[in-house]
Order: sequence, then structure tokens, then C-alpha cells
Amino acid sequence: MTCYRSRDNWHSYVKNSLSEAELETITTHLTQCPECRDLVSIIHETADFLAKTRIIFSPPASMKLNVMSAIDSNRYKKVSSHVFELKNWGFSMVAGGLLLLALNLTSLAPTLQSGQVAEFFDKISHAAYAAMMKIETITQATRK
Amino acid sequence: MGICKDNELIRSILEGNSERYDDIVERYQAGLYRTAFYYTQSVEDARDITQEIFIKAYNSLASFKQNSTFSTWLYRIAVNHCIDWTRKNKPLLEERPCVDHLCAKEGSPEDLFLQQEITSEVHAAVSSLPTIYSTVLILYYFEDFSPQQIADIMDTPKRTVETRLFRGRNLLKDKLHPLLSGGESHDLLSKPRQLA
Repeated sequence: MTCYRSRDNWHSYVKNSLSEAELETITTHLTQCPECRDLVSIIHETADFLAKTRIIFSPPASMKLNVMSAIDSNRYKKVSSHVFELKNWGFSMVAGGLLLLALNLTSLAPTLQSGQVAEFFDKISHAAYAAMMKIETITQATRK
Repeated sequence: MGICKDNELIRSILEGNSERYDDIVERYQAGLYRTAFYYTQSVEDARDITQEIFIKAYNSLASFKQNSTFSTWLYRIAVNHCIDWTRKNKPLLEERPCVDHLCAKEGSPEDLFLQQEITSEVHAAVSSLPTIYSTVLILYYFEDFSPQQIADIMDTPKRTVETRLFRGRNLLKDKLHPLLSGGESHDLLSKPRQLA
């Protein structure tokens, strides 16, 4: 190859995918350069030859069904805002309840002995944890 | 309802309408299935790979940037998936593929037989090339992508694609020459021209 353009956009030229300016420059060059005309001709001949070896077949009908049943249809579903509200309300109620209990505890304190206080707090803690878990479960179930 | 553009469909799917992915599969399944076949030379493997590509693309949909074309993005996933498959399964690709039922049905029985033989040889030769060359040949000659689109899919400069197309063609010619001497491809692919 002696032409300085021998490595140029010849495949793009054959596919008609050049800008108007590039196309004009290359077309002008082709009229003057037999070497590059040969290159373009080879690409055309190769394309014609390989076009005959293209396979003709359709995908099986099951393909779309398989894909659609395999994808996670909830992947891009937004969690609805009322679920968030429910969760927030739940947490607020539990927190409020705990606060009220703590405030009322002062009135109960004189009647409780020291060991009973620890046991009482333990029960409250378990009840609060169970309530939190229940809210979490409800939220997850609603998402699904 | 009119035909939705790819980007509109993607936006709708990302808003939670996963059923719209059905349209994307419908639109691209034939091209991806064919492309996968050129790499695998097996209808069964091509089917499995195509399904995997669609599932992979769906799971990565949130990373698709709407400023590029969806087909380029999808084919990038497809080509990478096929190349990975080829790396793992290349030693198994010794036999010529059976393409009897996949070719055009025009012409005399002799012509059909000859065309099927040539098609098998060409596909086997293309799939046996290093993937950087087989990929550009498949996308350019069989799937009608322009060098710029191939460059976007492969994430390489367009000039590199042009060069690989010339070199890939020369490698293909070398592979086909001893197998098809005297046939049509002999006349075409053995012209004594020095390419870039």
C-alpha cells in the first residue's frame, strides 16, 4: 500500500456512515486513486460473499417467556410511600409508648423492689423488640 | 399504541413497569440470538446465552446511561458475554456447525448443498479467529453495524475497528483458502492483494 489514505475510513464509507464532509473528501479521493478503489471493491465483494452465508432463523417462542419469568419483576418497583408512613408511624408509636412507660415508672417505683425493677425493664425491652420486629415483617410483606 | 423508543421503554421499566421488558426482548431477541450463534455454533448454546444476556441486561438496567444508544449498550453486554463463553468453551469448537436448516432455501438442490457447505466452513472459520477479529467481522458483515457503532460496542477507537476489519478479513481468507479452493470463496478471498 502506497496511498497515505490506505488505512482510512473505507469500511465506514461502504456502510454509508460518514459525515457529508468526510464522504465528499473520500469520494473525490476515490476518483483519483485506483489503489483505494481496489480496497473499497474488496470490502464490497467480501460483504456480498458473506451476506450469502448469513443464517436465517427465528428465536424459539419460549425465549421471551423464559426471560420474563426469570427476571425479578419487583426489582425496579418503588416501595410505595404509605408503606414508609406505616413504618414511621409504627416506630413513633412504640417510641411514644416507651416514653410514657418510663414517665409512669416513677409512680410505680415505690411499690417495686430492686430485683423486680430489673425484671420489669427486661420485659419492656422484649415487648418493644417484638413490636419492632412485627413492624419490620409487615413492611417487608407489603413490599412483596 | 405506537412503537415506543428504546429510551422510553427503559424509563418505564425503571419506574416499575417490568412487563415492558417484554417489548425489549421482542425487539432484540432475533439479532442477539443470531450473534450468539455466530460465536457458539450451536442453537442450544445460543438460546441459553441469549436468555442470560437479557437477564443480565435487565439486572443492570439502572446503570444504562440514557445519553448512549440502548442497542450499543445491550450489544456490549452481549459481545462480552459471548467472548467469555468462547474463552471457556473454545476447545469444544472443533466440529463444523450444522446449518442445513438455517440457510436460504432458493436454488437447485446442488446449489443449496454447496451453499450450506460454504456457510458451515465460513462460520467455523469466523468463530475460530481470535475474538477481536471475529467480533468485528460478525458485527460488520453479519449484523450490519457501522465501524463507529462497533467501536462504541467494543470500547475501542474507530480506526482500530477499521484495521481489525482488514486484518480479520485476511485471517479469514487464510482459513478458507485451503478448504474452499475452486469454489466461489476461492475466487473472492484469495485475490493476491495486500491489504492494510
